[in-house]
Amino acid sequence: MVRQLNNSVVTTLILALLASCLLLPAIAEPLSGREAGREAGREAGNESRHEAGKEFSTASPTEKHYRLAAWHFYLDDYYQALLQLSLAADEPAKARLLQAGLLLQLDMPAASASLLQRLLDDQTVSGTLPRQLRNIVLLQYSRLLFEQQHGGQAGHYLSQLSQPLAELAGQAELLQQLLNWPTVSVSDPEVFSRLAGQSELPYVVINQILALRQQQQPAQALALLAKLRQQLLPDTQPDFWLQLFRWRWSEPLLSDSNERQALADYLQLLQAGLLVDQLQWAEAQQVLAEFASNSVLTLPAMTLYRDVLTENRQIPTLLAVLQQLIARYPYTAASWLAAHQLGNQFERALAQQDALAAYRWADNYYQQQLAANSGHASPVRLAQLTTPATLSDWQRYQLRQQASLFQLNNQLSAVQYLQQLQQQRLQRLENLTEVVQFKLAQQQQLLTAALPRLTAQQQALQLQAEQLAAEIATAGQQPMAQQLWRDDTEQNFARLQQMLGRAQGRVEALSAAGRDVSQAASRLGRLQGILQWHYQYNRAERHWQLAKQQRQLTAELAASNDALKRLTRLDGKTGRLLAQQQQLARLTARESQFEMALAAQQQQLLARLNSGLQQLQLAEREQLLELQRLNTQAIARIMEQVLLTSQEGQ
Amino acid sequence: MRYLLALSWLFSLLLVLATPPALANPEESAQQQLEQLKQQAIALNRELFILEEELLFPPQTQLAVFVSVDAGSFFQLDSIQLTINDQAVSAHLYTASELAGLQRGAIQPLYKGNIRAGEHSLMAVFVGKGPEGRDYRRAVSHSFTKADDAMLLELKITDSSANYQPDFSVEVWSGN
Repeated sequence: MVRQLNNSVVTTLILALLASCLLLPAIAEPLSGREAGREAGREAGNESRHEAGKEFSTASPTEKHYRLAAWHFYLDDYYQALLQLSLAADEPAKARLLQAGLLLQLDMPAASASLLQRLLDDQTVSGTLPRQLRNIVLLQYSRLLFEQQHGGQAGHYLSQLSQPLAELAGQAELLQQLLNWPTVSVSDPEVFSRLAGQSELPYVVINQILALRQQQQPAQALALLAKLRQQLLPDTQPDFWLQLFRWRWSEPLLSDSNERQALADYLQLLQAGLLVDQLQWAEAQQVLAEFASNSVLTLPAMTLYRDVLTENRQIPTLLAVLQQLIARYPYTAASWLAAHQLGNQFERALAQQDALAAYRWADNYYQQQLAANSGHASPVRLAQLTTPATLSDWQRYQLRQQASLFQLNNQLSAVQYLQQLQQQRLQRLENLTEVVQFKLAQQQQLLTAALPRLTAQQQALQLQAEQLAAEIATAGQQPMAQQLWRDDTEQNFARLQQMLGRAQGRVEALSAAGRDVSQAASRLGRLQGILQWHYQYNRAERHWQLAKQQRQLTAELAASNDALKRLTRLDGKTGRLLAQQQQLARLTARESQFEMALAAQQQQLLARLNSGLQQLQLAEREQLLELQRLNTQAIARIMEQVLLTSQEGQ
Repeated sequence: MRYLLALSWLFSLLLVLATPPALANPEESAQQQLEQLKQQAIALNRELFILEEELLFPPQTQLAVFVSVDAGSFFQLDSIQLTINDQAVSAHLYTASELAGLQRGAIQPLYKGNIRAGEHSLMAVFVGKGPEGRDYRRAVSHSFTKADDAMLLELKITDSSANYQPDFSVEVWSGN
């Protein structure tokens, strides 16, 4: 009696209970588990036996896009994952399957179904899928068809599954049960071994139990239930693809202890119902007396307990249960009825005064409830949905309990998320617009001011280079072109040449003066020869060096010329930037339209939500008025009896 | 018996009354409209992303760095610090869900930026728990030349079965 269950499990399992119609054997429905564990299942049991890394094992660019998409998928950023996937150059079957799963995560079943259908229709693509992935396509598509009320087509695709199904067997069998309901095989002793370790096992068996109940075979149903309760222990982990396609009832149902406990509670309640079917009231009372007080199923359990106690005439306990119902579930019809039933029980026990007091108390209670009901009429505002604490208790309760309102609330949350994303996009668009404007201004400045200056400088350099080339060519004609001598070796040659020239001048002067300088002239001639030889010896090297420097200069000039040409071509890039600017403007306009569409959708959904709440409020008011009328009649009846009794006494 | 009959009648009444009123049912069309809006959001996301890439990260200057983990038995990643040309450009502290994603084959986009054409160096420092739960800190360097194509680099953490130690490497993505 101390177990706590989170709200999502509470909501989803109550919905599952409503779907199963546990207490009404005549209209029993199969338990699909579609609502169960939608949120809770996402948070637990996320480990995969087959890692995505194994799914995406190769290193092709497309595979890298898958793995990048997987990163966003694991972080629950499905829009980003879809974006990443859409950037892949090709779209093989596996990419489409991944895309279909991501669409489903965004609660887009129609788009997902359409994608899966195209995948199945295109045999050349789907044929490349491994058997088990093809089975996943078939199974998921069948499920979506079933959701869309196309049972025949769902069965057609489901029948195409290839054996062995391995971990898909549970899902396939559950879907088959739903398609065939109420024709469910109930003599199936192999089910426990066949689906051993699979999270769908308990649901498949529960459907068999419900079918047995519908066939009015409660004893067999109880036996099966007892066997299931013993085996309600598996803790399985879905593989990557199963996790990807986790949506509504395909989510793991036994992913954590809360789920398991809720399912155990469900079985306990089902057991009590079956015992009631067999008119084993005492045993049913025993089972219900042990029911958890804080389970998601406490309300239906207490309601059934109330009926059983009434049948067993356990008045003190019944009165306690009725009081608990009134105190714990103020917004339920069961609670309002309990207020009347208190007096009713005293009336049954012929305690007229107590009955009268209880009926009067109930009358007061109904007046309070009616006053409270009038307070429920205020509509919900958008801001309240983002901060649920600002909602009234009744509004919170209804948004959690009523399937259609729950869905509307979810849709409103989705719209709000789209609005948040849109605000982020608008911010990015604004930044991009600034970037484009900055680039355009930069280019404009470059083209109008910097480019002419740089062009002039480049042309001057070109001219100087041409002049230098001409001078080099002229100097190259000289025998020992002194002007070419630049480095240390050449400078040395130059000095020696100058010394030789001066010595030659002095020899000539001395010779003119009649001095005999033939020996010196001869030595000078030899030195000149040696110097010429050294010069010629290094000439090739010098020429190569010179040619190299010339080539470098030419290359640098050509490069600067190319750079200038590229800058000149920026005019073309400006055009591109202007086109991008227009594209940004178009995107901004589309975003505005999108924003309006979102706002319209939001208002529409909110109006429907408020309309639904209002209908509920009015319906509850009608119920309360009707019960108040019955209660008033009961008061009149008791007063009449009291009067008769007193008259008889006199 | 009269009470039982009365109770039965009341229960029947309850069942009738307890049935929630049918809400107006344009649910399918609302769902369809919402799906269409989501489709539009997906398309707008894509267009904006492509435009952003063109304007902010053109291939001529784009540098993107990714992280992947293969096996990861010998190393549990805590954080990565990324330095390009001795300038710290990115640091990431990993959450449990991010680590789980990496270990299941996802690739993390760690950094995207712009660099000039030419020679560059990248250094990534990996911090985490190594074999036997010991603190582990390793750096990996990589020199590369940026040309006209986008430069996409993957930091890979692998297990080395030869020495039972983690191995860190940089892989250049080609064909992008």
